[in-house]
Amino acid sequence: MHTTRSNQSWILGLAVLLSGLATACNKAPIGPTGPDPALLLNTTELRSLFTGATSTLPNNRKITGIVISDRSTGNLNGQNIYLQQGNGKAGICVRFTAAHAFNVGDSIDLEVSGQELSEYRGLLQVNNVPLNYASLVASGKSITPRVATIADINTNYEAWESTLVQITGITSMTGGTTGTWSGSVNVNDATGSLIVYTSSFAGFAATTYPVNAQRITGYLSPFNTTKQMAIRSAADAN
Amino acid sequence: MMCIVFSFDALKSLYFAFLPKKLFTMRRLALLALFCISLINANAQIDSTRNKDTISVDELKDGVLDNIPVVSVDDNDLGDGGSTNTSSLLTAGRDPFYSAASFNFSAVRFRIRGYDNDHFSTFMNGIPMDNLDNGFTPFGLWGGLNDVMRNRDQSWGLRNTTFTFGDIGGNLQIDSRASKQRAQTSFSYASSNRNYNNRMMITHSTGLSKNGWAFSFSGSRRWAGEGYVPGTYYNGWGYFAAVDKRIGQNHLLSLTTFGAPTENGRQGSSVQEMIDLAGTNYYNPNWGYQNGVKRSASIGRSHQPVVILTHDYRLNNKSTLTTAAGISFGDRSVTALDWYNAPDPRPDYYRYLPSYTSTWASTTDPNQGQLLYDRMKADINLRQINWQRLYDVNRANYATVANANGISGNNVSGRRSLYVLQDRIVNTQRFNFNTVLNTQFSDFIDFTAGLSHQIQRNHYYLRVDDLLGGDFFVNVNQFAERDFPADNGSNQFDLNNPNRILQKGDKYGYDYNINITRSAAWAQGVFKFSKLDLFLAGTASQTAFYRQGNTRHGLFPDNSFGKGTVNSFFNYGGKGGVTYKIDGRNYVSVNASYQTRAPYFENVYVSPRTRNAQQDNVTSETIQTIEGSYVLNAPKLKVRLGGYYTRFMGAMDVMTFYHDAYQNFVNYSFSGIDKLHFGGELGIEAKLSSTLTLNAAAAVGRYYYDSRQQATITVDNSAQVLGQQVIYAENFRIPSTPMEAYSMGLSYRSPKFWFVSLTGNHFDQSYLSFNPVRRTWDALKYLTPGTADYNSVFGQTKFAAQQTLDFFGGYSWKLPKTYEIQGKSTFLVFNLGVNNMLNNQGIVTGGFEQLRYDQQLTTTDPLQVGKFPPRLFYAYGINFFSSVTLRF
Repeated sequence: MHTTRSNQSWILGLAVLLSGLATACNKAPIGPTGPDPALLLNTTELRSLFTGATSTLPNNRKITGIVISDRSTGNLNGQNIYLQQGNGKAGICVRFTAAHAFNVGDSIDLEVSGQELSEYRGLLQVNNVPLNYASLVASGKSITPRVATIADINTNYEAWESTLVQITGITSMTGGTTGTWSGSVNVNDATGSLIVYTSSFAGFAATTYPVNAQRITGYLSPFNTTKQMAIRSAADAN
Repeated sequence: MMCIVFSFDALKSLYFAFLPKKLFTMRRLALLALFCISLINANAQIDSTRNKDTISVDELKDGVLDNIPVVSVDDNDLGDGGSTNTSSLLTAGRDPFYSAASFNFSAVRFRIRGYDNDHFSTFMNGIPMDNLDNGFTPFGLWGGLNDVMRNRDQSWGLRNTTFTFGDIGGNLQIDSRASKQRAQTSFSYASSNRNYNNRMMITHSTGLSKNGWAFSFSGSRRWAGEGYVPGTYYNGWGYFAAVDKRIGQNHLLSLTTFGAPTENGRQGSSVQEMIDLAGTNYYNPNWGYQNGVKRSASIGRSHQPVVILTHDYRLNNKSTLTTAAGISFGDRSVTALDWYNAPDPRPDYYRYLPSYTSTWASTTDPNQGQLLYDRMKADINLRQINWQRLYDVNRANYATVANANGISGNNVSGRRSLYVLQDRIVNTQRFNFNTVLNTQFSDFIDFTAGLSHQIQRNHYYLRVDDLLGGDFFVNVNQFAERDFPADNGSNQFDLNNPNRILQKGDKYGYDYNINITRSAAWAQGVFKFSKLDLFLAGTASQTAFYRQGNTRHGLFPDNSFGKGTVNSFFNYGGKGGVTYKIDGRNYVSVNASYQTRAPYFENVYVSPRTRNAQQDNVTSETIQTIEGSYVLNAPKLKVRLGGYYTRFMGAMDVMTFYHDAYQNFVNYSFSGIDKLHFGGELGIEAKLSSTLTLNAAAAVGRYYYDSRQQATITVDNSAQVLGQQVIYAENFRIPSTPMEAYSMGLSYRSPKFWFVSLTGNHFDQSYLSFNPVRRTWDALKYLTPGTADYNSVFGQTKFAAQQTLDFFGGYSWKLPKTYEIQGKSTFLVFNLGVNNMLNNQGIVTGGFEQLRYDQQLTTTDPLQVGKFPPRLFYAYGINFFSSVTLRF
């Protein structure tokens, strides 16, 4: 009987010890203390939210992207910016409520919660975004342009809108304002033709475009139903 | 409930009255009669088989575990068609902790270390048996074939095995080959009051003959007109045939085939309000009277035969190569009611409950609610399915379908069913190949390596099981019709076959395949020294799966038909352990493992019923675990004291439920699910005397969700993401298993070959499965933390602690020599197990909060936590399993 009692005590002691240790490790669930931190919204997903009419983006969303437009050369409104999420990924035009200070190659996070998603003359944009919704993550980044023929660009124009593309087999360039970049320059390759539009306010608008250029790099930005490309500087064509 | 009373003297008199000693044939008849009615006992005889009592205990436990409750967790729960009713812990070996954990705790659905079933693996005759789609072992495939499934090699936790790298919970190898079966014949009959009431089993095995042949056959039948729970029934068969041929000294070729065609009326969970109205915790909403006969709407059917070919090759005295290939094929299915533009036919639908009328409706009416309560309380038919009404509605609905079967101008008129019984079918085809080399490099080093390749194709589809009095059903999507009334294409379940007129047996609704392949290699070294044993093992695998749509869904014409994205995962894992042998009786071990694991497809596809869409960033889960134990193995005292710490990281999940507000199925896709499990285990077996043994076990752990999860919300009618939310699940408990379980029992084992045991169990720290929607900022933003209202939404329900008392007894009787058959000793083995002797019917073994939750949209909105109350299921009250076996 001594053995029995001693066994029972031992068993009880060990069970109590285990139970005590477990109780000491009890943890309480942790609830929210505020709205959810903004969740990353894939830019492709963001674009897919546009149903044809102006709408409001859901709450707690942000996008991330690298700036592919260049405010310094003046070829776009100072409130506008083109962001591409990454190489081969989607892009979007963002129009701030005031002029911004982001440069080509800046990587930024942009809160889009409750912002307007709309089209402006055929261009999908997140509109009227307060400047403080954007924050700089890093600088000096780059996007490798998607190399494509003009036929490919025309076929995939909507998906590739607001992304960087490069045409490498240019056969001719015509148009513009007296041989300069200003206005619409027709760029041709063996597969078709594409307009490269440059604002007359751009710093390089009066620069003569190189008629023998082999390649040109720019972002796709439509005007109504016209499929167009915009370049950042004259150096984008060579 | 059947009651068996053993009265030794009376039964002995009865026995001898039936057995004139000189009439041999009469004796046999009497023997058979005795066996059949299982009312016998007599003086114990000398039994030369010393371990007979042990076998008897195992048989009894097998029988009990084979007959544990099956509950339909939700309407979409297919499980294995009612076949996963056996715990993955069917055998416990001789470890005192696992022996208790696998059996004494089974009534409350205890899970070892809180692990899900997919962390335990099962092999049979050399091939892996686990489903590739969810990692579960389909024990139902060999349900009722207990006699031929008893040769088992079980290892728990991270210990090294000789047949697989292994899962972290435990690994079981069943050897059902003919030559491994004991040469004997047995007949058995079992009576129970659980899922089935009767079981008959017959088994004959020849053993290995001199010319190298062995044969084994087994058959069983399990049935119940009505099981423990009203409206359930059981009708199961089992068959098994195996042949072995030894070729020379070095080769053994084995062919095994078995199957278990089973049909059962299933139990469903329900809300407490209906349980209270019914006055029983075993209220089952799945049935109703039809012409005075109970009819179930949830019938599980399963039959997936298995064929395994195994080759054992003894390369030399130190090396063996076991190679096996197996196929399995067949259907498992569950029926359920389906309806088209008609009220929900389920009796416990929330709008039919008195509380809805009294409290939750937009215009409440407590008086009407009370009247409804009184009527439902008094009339069972108001609490069950009203089959007659479904037939009446169908018969009264004369309709014309234009452009039927996609043929312009083809108008079909008749009684269009608004209600049908659907059959949710999973047809599975599996091929498994596995080869394992075991060799000894020296007296100190064992080396094992293996290769496996598995292919599984699951075909998911719906079939019309019963038109319920109508002439036809139409294959269109009522939800899409409602949302897109002007679009003739969007309402089609299959644009390739629009407006199809359906008859009984026709496919409809969803129809898709999931194709999965997995290839794996592993190797292990075991190093044995005088004081120390070490092992190291590593594995690498490649898993790929994709969805193949067989229909072009009207809402997703470009993303539903044909092959979807192929998901491919490379995974790896390693584990190692060391055992320090203090002396011949005391051992200390530490094992650890790190591995990655591919997600299961059901946690990847957002809505496989409709389209190929899947979660973003599909990645493998990471599992880290460490365990340690102290083992004392003395003649009179066996002790195992262990601990474990396991972390699961980066898992995914998908939940789907019907949402009234969207009038459609809403899908929540979760990612970033981390879990933390830690605890201790204690098992003791103390021989107090030569006949009396004290057994004790304790499992004390804490299992937590360990992260804030990300949820993406979609609806079946649209590709659009409705929203994304953070789920504040951190420190919520892993539900539906007690985290604390204790048992203590006394066993008396007589030298006269009978035994009795009485075991008491205590369970605590079991929690309800929670609804993630209630653990979001949106659901809680108008509530103040710490208040009762806040806690009613955010808190997790804990079940009350429970106790059970179990009795087991058995007797192995060797019959006198005059009853020997073909010169072999003949035994009658009696077993009786009575579980939950205290008849505690209040043990909630699990349940879940309904996923629908109407959150406050303003500060003034009322809280509606009770509008969609949790669905619960309860453990059986007092129940028994008794058997008698004639063996020679």
